[in-house]
Amino acid sequence: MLFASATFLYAFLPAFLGAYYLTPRRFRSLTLALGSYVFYGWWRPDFLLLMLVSTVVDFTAGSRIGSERARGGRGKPWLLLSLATNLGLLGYFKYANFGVETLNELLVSMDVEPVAWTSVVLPVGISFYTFQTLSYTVDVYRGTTPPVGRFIDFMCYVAMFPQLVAGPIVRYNTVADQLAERTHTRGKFFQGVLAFQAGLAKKILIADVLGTLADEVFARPAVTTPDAWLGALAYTFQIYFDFSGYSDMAIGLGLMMGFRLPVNFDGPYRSRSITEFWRRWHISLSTFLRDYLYLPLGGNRRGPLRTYANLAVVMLLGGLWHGAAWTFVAWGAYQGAWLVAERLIGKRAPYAFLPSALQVVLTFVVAVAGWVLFRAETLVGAGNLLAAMAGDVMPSAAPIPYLFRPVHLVAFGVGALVVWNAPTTQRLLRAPPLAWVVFLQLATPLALAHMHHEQNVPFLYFQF
Amino acid sequence: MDAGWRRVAAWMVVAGFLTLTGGAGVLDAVAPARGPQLTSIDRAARRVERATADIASGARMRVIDRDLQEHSNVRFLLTPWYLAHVLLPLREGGSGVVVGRDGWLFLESRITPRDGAHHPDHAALAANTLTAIDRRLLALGLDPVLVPVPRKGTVATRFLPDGADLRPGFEQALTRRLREGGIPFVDVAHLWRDVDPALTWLRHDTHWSSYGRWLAMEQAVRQLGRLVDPALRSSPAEHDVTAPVPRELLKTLGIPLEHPVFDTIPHDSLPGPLVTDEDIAGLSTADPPLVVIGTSFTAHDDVTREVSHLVDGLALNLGRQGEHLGRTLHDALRDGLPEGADVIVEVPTFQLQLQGFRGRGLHRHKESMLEPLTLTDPPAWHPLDVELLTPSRDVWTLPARLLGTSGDGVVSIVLSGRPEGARRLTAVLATDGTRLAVEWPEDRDSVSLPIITPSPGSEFLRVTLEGARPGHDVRVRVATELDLENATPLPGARAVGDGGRWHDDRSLPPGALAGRHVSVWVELPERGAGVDPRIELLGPGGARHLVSDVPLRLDGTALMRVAAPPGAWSTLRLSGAGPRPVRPITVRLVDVPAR
Repeated sequence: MLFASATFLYAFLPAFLGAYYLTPRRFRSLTLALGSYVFYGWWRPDFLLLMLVSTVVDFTAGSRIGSERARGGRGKPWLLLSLATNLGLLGYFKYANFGVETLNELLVSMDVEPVAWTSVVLPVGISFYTFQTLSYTVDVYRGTTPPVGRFIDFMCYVAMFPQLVAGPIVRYNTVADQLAERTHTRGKFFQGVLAFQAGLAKKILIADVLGTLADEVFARPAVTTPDAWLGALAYTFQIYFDFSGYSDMAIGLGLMMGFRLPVNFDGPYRSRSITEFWRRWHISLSTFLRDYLYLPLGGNRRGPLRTYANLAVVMLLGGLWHGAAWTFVAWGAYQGAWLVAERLIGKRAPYAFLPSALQVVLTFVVAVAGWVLFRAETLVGAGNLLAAMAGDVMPSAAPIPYLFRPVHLVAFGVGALVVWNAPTTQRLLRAPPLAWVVFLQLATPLALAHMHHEQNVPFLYFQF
Repeated sequence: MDAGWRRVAAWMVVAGFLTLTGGAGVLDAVAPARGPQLTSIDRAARRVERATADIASGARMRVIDRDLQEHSNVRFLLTPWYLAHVLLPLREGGSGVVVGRDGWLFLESRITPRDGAHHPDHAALAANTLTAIDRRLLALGLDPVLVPVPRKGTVATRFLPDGADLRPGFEQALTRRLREGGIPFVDVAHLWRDVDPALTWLRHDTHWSSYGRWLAMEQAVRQLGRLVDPALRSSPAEHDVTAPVPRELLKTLGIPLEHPVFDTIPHDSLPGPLVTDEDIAGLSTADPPLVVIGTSFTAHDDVTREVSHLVDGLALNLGRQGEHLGRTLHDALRDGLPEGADVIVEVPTFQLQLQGFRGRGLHRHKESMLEPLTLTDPPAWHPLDVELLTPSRDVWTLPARLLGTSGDGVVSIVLSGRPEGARRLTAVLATDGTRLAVEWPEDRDSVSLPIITPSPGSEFLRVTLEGARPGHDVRVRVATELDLENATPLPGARAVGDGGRWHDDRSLPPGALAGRHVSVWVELPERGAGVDPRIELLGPGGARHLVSDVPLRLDGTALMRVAAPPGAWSTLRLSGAGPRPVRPITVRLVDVPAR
C-alpha cells in the first residue's frame, strides 16, 4: 500500500487509527502489528511469509543468544543463523537476478549459451526489515541490548508499517522502550499530522512533479547540455523530496501512534563537504553501515590505509544495498572516493578554502553528478549524460520538447526554498511557526488533488 | 503564537486531517462519486476482472485500489478544480495533452512523433498507402478523392507550445508525392492557408471546427465534379458564433463536463453549425451516391447526414463511444458499396506518420462475413486454436498475447460455434486502442472480428460475449498467430555498436526473397534495445533498401513483411539506437504463400 493513495489515506489510515485508539494500551502493539501485516500484505500477501520467517528466526536467535549469554556463553551459532537467514533472503531476492544476468553477459561474450533463469520478484522493503532484524541479533550478541521479551513487541518492531518499506532503518534499541511503553498525547499527534502533511506535500507536489522531468531526460540516449542539467537537477530534487517526504510521513505516522522514530535527513544539500553530506543524508543507513560494517572492519583504528580501504568498502556495499546494478556500485565507489579524498586532506572538501556558500554549491554539484550515476539505467547512459552536462553532446542529441514548463519552475523554486532556506522538518516540529502550519493546511488538499491526477506514483525507495 | 492559540491550532489541524481522511472514507463508502464513463465492454471486462481477481497475487487489492481511486469524492471534487487552475497560469497539461499558446491544447503524440517517424522514406510509404487505397477503390468501381487530414499543429502553428517538434515536412512530402502520382486529393492545409486557424480548428478539441470541415467537404465535392450551389459558400461571419464547441481534450485532461469548473475555462466563440439539411440536399441530389469514409466527417451529422454510405474504417482508435467500428463499418458495408459511387476518403495524417499505418482499414462483406479489402498483399495468417472457453458463461474475457502483429496487418478474431439459446448475442473485442462489437445471429456458425492491429506495445485483447441468456458453446481462434515452426531461422553475428547505433547482419539464403511472400519475425531480447529499430536489406555494391522502421511491441517482438525490390539482396540488417542488445536477436523468415 502506498501512503499517497486513496486506499491508505481514506480507508486504511482512519480505520487503523480508530482501531488503534480503541484498543486497550497493552494490546496496542498487537493492533499495530496486525495492521502492519494488512498494510504489507496488501501488495503481495504471499510475501508476508518471508517477513514472518525473518521475524521468527531473529526472535528465536535473539532469545537464544540472550539465554546463552546468561549462562556465560556467546550464542554464536544463533548469530550465524540470523546472518545466514537475513543475508540469504536479501541475497536471493535482491541480487540473484543481477548475478545471473552478469554471468550470462560473461557467457555470451565467450560464445557460451546463457543460463536459463526466471527473474525473481523483489519483495518490497526487504532491504529495510532484514537490516533491522539483523541489527537486533547483532546488538543482543554484542550485549548492547537485552533480548526482547514479548514476541508481539518484536513482531511490531519488524513490521511497523510507517517505516516498513522505505525506512528509516530503526534499530531495536531505539524503540525498545517505546514498544513496551509509550505515551500518546495530543501534542504528539499534532506533530505527527504536521510531519505527515509535510511529507505528503514534499512527495506529491515536488518529487512527483520534477520526477516527470527527470524521467524524460534519463530515458533518452542523447540529450543536450541544458536538458542534461535539467534532468540531473530534477532527479537531485526528486530523490531528496521523495525519500525525505517518505521519512517525514513515517515519522509523522509514528508520532500519531506514540513513537518517536529517528531522524533520517538533516538538510543534506546544505553540506559543505561530502563527509558532512553523509552525516545529513539517510542518517539511519549511514549510522547502520558505520556501526555494523565500518567499525567491525576496524574503522579508523588500524592506520590510514586501512581506514581508506574500509571507507571505500563500506560505500561500495552501501551502493550495492541500494540496488543490484553496476550503476549503484559506481555510485558507491564515487561516494567512497570523495570520502577518502576528503579524509586525506583532513575531513574537509578540497574547496574548503572558498566561502561557505560556494562550498555548499560545489558539494551540491558533486552530489548532482553522483545522482546521475545512481539514476541512469546503465553506466554508458550515465557516462553520456555526464558528458552532456560537461558540454560533450552526442551528434544525435536534440532539445526535448515541452521539457521545462512553468510548473517545474514552481516546483524547483519551492524545492530550493525548502532545501536551502526553510527549517528542517524536525525543527519545524519542535515549535511549528503558524505560517508553516497554515501553508501545510493549504498544501494538503493540493497534494491530494495532484495525487488523484497522477494516479499514485510509487516511492523511489520502495525499490531499494 | 501563545499557548492558547497553539492549542486551538493543534486541535483544528488534527480535526481537519481526520475529517479529510476519515470523512472522505466514510463518504466514499456511503455515497461514492461517479467514476469514469465506461463502455459496455469495459463494464463487462471489469465484471470478469472482479470475479477472477485473486487475493494471493494482490490482484484483488489492486481492483479495490482502483475502485477507491476512481470513486473518490475528493478526486471528483478537488482534482478538476486543481487541473483547471494549473492549466492556464502554469500551462500544465498531463494525460498526453500539451498546453500551447493562448491555452490551445494539443495531443502530445501528434506533435511529438516517436523515434523513427521522420525517416525519409516515411512519406513515400504513406503516399504508397494512399495510392493503394485509391487504386483499390477504383478497381471496385468507386471514384475516390482522398482527404489527408493534416495534424492540428501544422495548421495552428502560432498556437504551438515552445519546442514543438512537428516536422511539417512530412505532410508536404506526402502531398507532393500524391500530386506527382496523380492521386486526387484535397490539400487541406493549402485550402486553409488564408483562413485564421482559430476558425478551422477547435482550441480544446482535436477536431476541425464546423467551418473547417465545411471548407474541406466543399472542396472535395467540387473535385468529384459535383455541383455546389454558390449560395452555400458561406463565410463564418454569417453564422451563429455563440454555439458551444466540443472540448474533448478538457475531458481527456480529467476535467469532466459535469464539473462546475468546466464552464469556467474560456473557450472559443467559433461559428456554429454551418451546413443545413437543405445544403446537404443541394450537394448530393441528382449525382451518383456519395460515400464518405473517415472520422471527423462521420463525427458530425451536419456534414454527413444525407450521404448514402458512411464508412469509418481508417482511424479505429478515434471512434466515439468505443464501438463505432461495429456501428459504422459493419452496418455500412452490410450491403456493399454502391456501384459507381463517389467516395471521399478522409485519412488522418498522424496515423500514417505515427503508427506505421498502411491502410488495411477497409472491409467488405463477403458471404456474410467482414473481410479486409487487401490493399497490399498481406501474409496469409495461419489460424491456430488458442483456447476452448467455458461454455456455460455468458460473459468472459479471453486474455491473449498477440503475436504476428505486423503494423500493417489485420487481426482477425474468429469465434466459431453455435450460440444456441442466446438472444441478441454480441461478440465484442477490445484491445488497448480498439473496440469492435458484432452481433452474432443464431443461424451463423462463426463470426469474425477484424481490427487493425493494436499499437505496438498492446499486449492484451479481450473477447467478450454478451447475450440475453447463457447456453452457447463457442470456440475462439486468433487468426493472427503465425506458424513459426515452419519459419527459417537466420543465424547471425551478435549485434555490434558503431557509436550511437548498433546493427546485426544476417546472411540471406540465395533467392530467399525472390518471388516469394516473406515476412521477418524479430525477437529482441531486451526492451532497451528497441530504440528506433529498422530493418534494411543490403546488396552488392552498397545497395541498400529500407524495409521499414520496426513497430516493436513492448515485449521486443515484431513482424515485418519484406517487400523487396528486385535485386540480389544478400544481407538483412537489423539496427537500432542506444545500447546494443547483449543477448542474441532471434530472426526468422516466415514463408507465407500468396492468397
